Amino acid sequence: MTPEPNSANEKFSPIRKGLLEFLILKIVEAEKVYVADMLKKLSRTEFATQEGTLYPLLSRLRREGLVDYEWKESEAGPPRKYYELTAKGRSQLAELNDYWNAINKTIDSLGK
Amino acid sequence: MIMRPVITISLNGNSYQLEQEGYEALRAYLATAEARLADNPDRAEILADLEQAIAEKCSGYLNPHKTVVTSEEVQRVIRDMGPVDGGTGEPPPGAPGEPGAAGSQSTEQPGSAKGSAGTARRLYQIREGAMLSGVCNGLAAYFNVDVTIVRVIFVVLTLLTGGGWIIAYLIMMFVIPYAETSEEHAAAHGLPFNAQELIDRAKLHYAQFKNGRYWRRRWREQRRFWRSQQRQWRAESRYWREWQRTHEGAPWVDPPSSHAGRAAYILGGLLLPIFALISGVLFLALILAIVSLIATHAVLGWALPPHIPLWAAIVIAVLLYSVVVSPLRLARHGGYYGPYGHGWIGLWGALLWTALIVAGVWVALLHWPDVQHFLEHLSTTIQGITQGARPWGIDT
Repeated sequence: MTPEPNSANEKFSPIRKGLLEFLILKIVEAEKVYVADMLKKLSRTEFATQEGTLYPLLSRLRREGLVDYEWKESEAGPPRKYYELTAKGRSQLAELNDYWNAINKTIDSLGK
Repeated sequence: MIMRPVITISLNGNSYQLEQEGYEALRAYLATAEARLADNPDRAEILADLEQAIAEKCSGYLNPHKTVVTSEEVQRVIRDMGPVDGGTGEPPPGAPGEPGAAGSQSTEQPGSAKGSAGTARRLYQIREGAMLSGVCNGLAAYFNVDVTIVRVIFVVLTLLTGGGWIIAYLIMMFVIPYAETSEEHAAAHGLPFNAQELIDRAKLHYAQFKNGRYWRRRWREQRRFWRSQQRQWRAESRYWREWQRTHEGAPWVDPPSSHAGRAAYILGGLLLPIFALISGVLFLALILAIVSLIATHAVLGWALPPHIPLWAAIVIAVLLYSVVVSPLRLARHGGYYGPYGHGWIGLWGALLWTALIVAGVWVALLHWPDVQHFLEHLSTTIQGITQGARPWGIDT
């Protein structure tokens, strides 16, 4: 019942959590996507996540004006929300990309 | 099967029938979600999104013959959804109303660089790019190896077990679920499936089996596959004829060989069902022998010598079976390929081989008192086997 605290996975969980927003913006940049597709894309990575996390995150991104969605009919069931990047989202993603590269350089330049 | 109370609920405009326990669990999940999102201005919208996602997952468990989502399935849906992030940091693990949520978090494999952070890897059959049913494809995804490797292993196992592995394949085809939704596809690549799920799936398949429609569909698919295989065989025998024409002149113009070939072909066609029957009986005998070995450490009253371990006896049985059956398989090949290929040699070889074995058994029966003794005790042995098999739930 009690999760083991020793795993690296657990330890790095805050890092993944912080980077998830960055990754979502990247996924949305490429094409208009439905939440299930985002989850699928992330499922094979370290960033695998679930609806319970993703929906609240997407709604915050939308509130901040970084993403928007449109309704699209689906063959089966009710229409679905397809998310896309806004202009503001695009510039934020560019900034994040630069910042990420800068961080990587810093990490590489330190130590051996 | 115990009937459990069913409650109809509405998720995003569509109604679903859930077993009561499942309904309670889902209501608790949504109530927790609502509480966590209390300060979120988009609370209503997020809840609607979550409801739709739940509805979609529930639909995945339904079909025209299954209209109720079971409690276990609801639990799985809730586990798939994961705890709702209220934006105030990590949700408390094991919060009330989220059974399994804490579990799915703690099953993360420590140190695994790729995949499976929060997503359980499960064994599924994957239709896309499948050759037969998707079993190999699914296993390849599950063990993260190339599908060709799995296929080669399967073929080698089939050859080693003299076709027995096909039964194992059929069982896997029967119990391993298909990856249908995107979540399932992800899970196929991403912690071990559990036995309960296999049992549930087998039960579901059994219900569909009783219904008949599912099997008619499978049967149609299988026949389509067989037809394409026949076409391939025909093409291969054509190829053989071409090959012979260009390499050895035209052997079928030569009357005697033509007669011999045609006779073999016709004989092959006649004997094909008989060979198939003999193979079937031999295979059954092998299975009975193995069951008997495991259950009673004896075959047909022949007690296993104490210095031979059980596994070696089973290996010997399988080898013996392969030896006896190999000419039959050659013969069936001969029947399929026709007289012009290499098959007819196999066919005559098989006839000779079968005759030799039959003669051998006959001589043994006449001159080896032990064999007579065993045949006399056959009925008691079979009783012993069935009694031995009963503890494993094999109905006889």
